[in-house]
Amino acid sequence: MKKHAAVISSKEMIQENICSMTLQTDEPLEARPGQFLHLLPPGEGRFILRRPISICEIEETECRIVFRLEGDGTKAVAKQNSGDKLDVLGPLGQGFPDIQSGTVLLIGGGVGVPPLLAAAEQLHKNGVRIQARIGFADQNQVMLVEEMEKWAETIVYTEDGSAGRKGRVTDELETDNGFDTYFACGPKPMLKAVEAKAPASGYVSLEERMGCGFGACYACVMEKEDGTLVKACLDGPVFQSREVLL
Amino acid sequence: MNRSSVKLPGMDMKNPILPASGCFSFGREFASLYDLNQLGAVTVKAATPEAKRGNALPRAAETTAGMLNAIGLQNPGVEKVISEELPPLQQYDVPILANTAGSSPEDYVYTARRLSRSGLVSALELNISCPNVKDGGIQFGSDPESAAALTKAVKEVSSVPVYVKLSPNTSDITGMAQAVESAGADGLSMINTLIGMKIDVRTGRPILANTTGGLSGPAVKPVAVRMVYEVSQHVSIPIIGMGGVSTLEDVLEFLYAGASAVAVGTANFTNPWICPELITALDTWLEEKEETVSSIKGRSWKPCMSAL
Repeated sequence: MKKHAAVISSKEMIQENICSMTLQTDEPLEARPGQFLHLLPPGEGRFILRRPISICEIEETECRIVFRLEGDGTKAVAKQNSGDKLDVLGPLGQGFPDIQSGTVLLIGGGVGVPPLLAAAEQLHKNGVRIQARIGFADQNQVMLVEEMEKWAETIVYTEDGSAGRKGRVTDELETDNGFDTYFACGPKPMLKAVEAKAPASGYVSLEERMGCGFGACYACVMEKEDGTLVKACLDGPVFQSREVLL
Repeated sequence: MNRSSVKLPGMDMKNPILPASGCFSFGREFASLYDLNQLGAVTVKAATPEAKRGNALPRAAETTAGMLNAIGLQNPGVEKVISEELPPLQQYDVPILANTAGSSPEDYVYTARRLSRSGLVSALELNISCPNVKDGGIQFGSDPESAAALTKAVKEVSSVPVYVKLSPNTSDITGMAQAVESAGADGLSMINTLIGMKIDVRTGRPILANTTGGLSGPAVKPVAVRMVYEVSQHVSIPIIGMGGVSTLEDVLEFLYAGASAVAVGTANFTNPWICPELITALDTWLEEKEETVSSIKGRSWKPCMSAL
């Protein structure tokens, strides 16, 4: 973990409330897909807690993040422009495993999709066959479809049917036997449904409210099935399916 | 001459900067980031007699220039703190202030006896002010008589000096301070968090699972400075001042208000390197101004000696 004064090299609003940003760091981040950056929103002391944002694409000293404008903090980050600096801590957490063979299904919901893009690129390099089911509330939330299609056989879902298939990423998942393992990232109800329906075991990446991001504050403590406690920021955010109680 | 060093009961400190309890875990996460030998002291997370699993999530929320937390004193229990958490800290030449909490006087006496006799801690910090657990000690933190009785009971069994961490959630902070001083406290830590809450306007419900939490961060600093200023003029035991410290100016404010040492809390989460950064900044400042920590302590209320 290091603190970086990252320079924003590009920024684009890819949907009304979804921001895509490319950050330049002075040294390679050496991040794994599934790890996250902890961003301090600029605000002259107004903001105290960093915002965990997963890495969407990474190459050497350049990385891309894609995030939804949820509150004042993410809005303040999105207001920054090319050339502005961002106080970044990272990379943090445990990422997805480095699968080398077979077929991996990527299951993403909303802003759970960006870290799966980083995973897809890595899996493609490893020669793994990739399928993706990515879902959004409606056409105004759809993102990263073309990028995902570069690496994976991709099915897009929207809950209202305004883009792609009408339905959810977990529809008929229980009868999908075309994959060996899965990487899932999205809201908790989606992850619960994935764990319940998927015929194979896999990995889930949690979106938890965090404090420090490196294990010191105990704000993101979760319970494992055996009763032991883990920290989403340090032991996760990627866990084996059914490893932690959702 | 070392301009920064401070001698407090049980703690010979290289400088007056130490992390605050609950914001430094048991040091492990920070030990991988910088050499803990730089610190004036280390305050570890509260230990209770038995393990505590803490509160349900969410446990933290941000407010303007502040943070609400309701962790709920999660810790592995005093025996594991002694056997697993404190030994790795012995490699550093830094005093260890061990925070203890409980729900009854017996709890405090038990953990105080175990910790103080473990040979692993320099002093105890009685957490009589945790606002986040039922019976988390705050009942002792708002009533001078029970605070004094508890302090006396712990002093009787402790083999190391005892600091009492005061709650700002009281109408008479000076009365509390004087009560524990006369009961034998060796020092004071102040302040703990202020009770606050935040409501999610989308759902209309409190954000924290615990409903309320402790407010910390720059938002509480003026309250803390005022309390240190007031109390330091009415007690003769040293005060570890804390509440929203994140800059050199904040450190100076607490020292001027009358604190003998200054603890850094929430800022460790924003910037994990904040303590060594403040230590360097303070050293430089003292050098430039040709001052010492002890000479500037209480400057806000002490008569101006140089005019004599």
